[in-house]
Amino acid sequence: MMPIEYPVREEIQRTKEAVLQTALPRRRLSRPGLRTVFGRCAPVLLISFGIYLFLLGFCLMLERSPRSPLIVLLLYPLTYYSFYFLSFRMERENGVIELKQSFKYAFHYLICLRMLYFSVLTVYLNLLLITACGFDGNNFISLAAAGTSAQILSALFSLILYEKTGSIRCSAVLPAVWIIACIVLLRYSEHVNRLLMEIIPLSLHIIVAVGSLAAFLLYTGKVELKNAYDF
Amino acid sequence: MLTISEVSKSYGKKRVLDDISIELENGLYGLLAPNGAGKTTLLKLIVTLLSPDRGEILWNGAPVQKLGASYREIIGYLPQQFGYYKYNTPVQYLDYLAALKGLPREGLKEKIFSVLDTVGLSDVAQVKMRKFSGGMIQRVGIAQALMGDSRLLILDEPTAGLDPKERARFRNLIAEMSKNRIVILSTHIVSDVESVSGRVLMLKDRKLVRNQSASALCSELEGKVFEIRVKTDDQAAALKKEHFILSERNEAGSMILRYYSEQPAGLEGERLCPPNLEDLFLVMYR
Repeated sequence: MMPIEYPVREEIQRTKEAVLQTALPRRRLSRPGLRTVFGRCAPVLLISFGIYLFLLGFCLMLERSPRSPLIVLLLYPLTYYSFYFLSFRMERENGVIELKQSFKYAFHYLICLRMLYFSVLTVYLNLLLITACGFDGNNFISLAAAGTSAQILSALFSLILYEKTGSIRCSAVLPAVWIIACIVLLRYSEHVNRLLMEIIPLSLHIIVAVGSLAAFLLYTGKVELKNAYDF
Repeated sequence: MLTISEVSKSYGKKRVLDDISIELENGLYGLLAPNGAGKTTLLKLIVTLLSPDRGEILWNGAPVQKLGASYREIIGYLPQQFGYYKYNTPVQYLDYLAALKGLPREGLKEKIFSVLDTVGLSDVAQVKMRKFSGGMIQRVGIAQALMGDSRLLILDEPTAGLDPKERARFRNLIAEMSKNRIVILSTHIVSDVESVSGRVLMLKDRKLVRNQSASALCSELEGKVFEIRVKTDDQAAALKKEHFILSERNEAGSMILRYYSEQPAGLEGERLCPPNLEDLFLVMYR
C-alpha cells in the first residue's frame, strides 16, 4: 500500500491562515480624532509644557559656549520623555490600560498616535530652544535636524520597547542612557561640535531626520494595521 | 457564535488553561471556578488581551486574532479591576469611552443616559466619580460594557462590591441582555451563577470540566447531600472526621451540619436534602 503523508498541524494552521488572510474583508478604519487620542491628558500635557518652559528658560539663561550645542541636544527629547512617562503613569494609576486595550481603538494604537503627534509638536517647539541659545544659519539647521533625529528616534525606540516588553520600565533606560551619553560627551564638546557642525554634512543631518520621521510613520502604520486586523 | 477550540495558555512554565474547547451561542454562561483557576485568563483570551499558546478562538468561524478591531467592536468587557478617571462624571467618562469604541456621535448623549438609567445611576450622571462608592463604580463599568452593539458581553466578577439590591437588579439586567447576545459572567460567587446562568462552565485543573445547566449539575449530587442536627461538639467532630462538611449553622442551641456522603451515614435524625450549586462547587473543589 502506498503511504499517505498527512500535513502536520502547523502546516494545516498556516494554510488556514493564508486562506483566511485573503478571504476576510479588510475594512479601512477611520483614524481617531485628537479628542480620542489625547482624551483625559490635559493635566499631563500641562505638566509637560511646564517642563518645556523650564528647559526654555534654562536655555535663555545659558551663555553661548562650546557646550551649548550638546546641552541643547541633551534637552531636546526631555519634553517628549516627560510626556511619555507621565502619560503612561496616568493611565496606569487610573487602571484603564486593560479596558482601553479591549476597545476598537486599542490602547497601544492610541498611545502610538499620541506620541507621534506630540513628537511632531515638540520638534517645532524645540526650534525655540535652539533660537534661545543663539544659533542661526547652517548651525541652526544642523542642530535642529540632529535634535529632531534624537527626539523622533527616542520616541520610536520607547514605543518599540513598550510593545516588546509590555512595560515602560525598560524604556526608562533610554533617557538615562541619553543623559549619561550627553554628559560624558560634554567633556569632548569641541570635538562633538566639529563633528555635528562641520564634519557631518547638512544634507546628511536632514536625511537622517527625515528618515527617522519616516520610520516613525511606518511604525505607526504597522501598529494601525495590527490594531485593525490583528491583535 | 463563539468557538473556543483546543485553547491552551501558560505563563512561563505554569500552564493555566489546557485544551479548552467550547461553543457558545446566544445566552447566559456562568464561568465558575475558585480564585486562581484561570477564569480571568480565559476571558482575557476571548477579549484578545492575551493570545493562546495553542488552539484558536473563532467568532462566526473566523479567528478573532485576524478580525482585529471589527471583533473588538462587538465586545462589551468589564474587567475585574475597572479603571476610571475619578475627576470625570459618568457622562464624561462614558462619552470618552464611546469615542474609543468608535461609536457614532449621533444620538450618543441619549444612549449614555439610557445605559446610566439602566444601571440606576441617572441621578448622579453629572457627579464626579471620586465621590462614588465601589458599587457605583462597578455600575459605571457595567454601563460602559452595555454601550454600543455588544454582541459578546464579558463580565469578570461583575457583582463584586454590589449590595444585595444592586445584585438583584444586575441579575435581572443580564438575564434580559442574554436574550440576543452571548453573555459570559465570571465569578466565584456561586449564588450569582445559580440564579441567572443558563449554563454553567466549570474549570478545574486547567481544564473545562463542566458545561451544563445549573439544575443538571445539581442532579449529580442527588441523594448525596444530607443534614443532621447534632447537640455536642464531640458528635460534630466525629461527623466531620467521617464526611465532607458542606456547611454548618447554629439553630436553637444545637448545630446543623450539612454534609456530602456517597451513602447515607445511617445516623439518627439524618435527613436527605436537595443539592444546590454551592454543594457541587464545594465537592468539586474540595
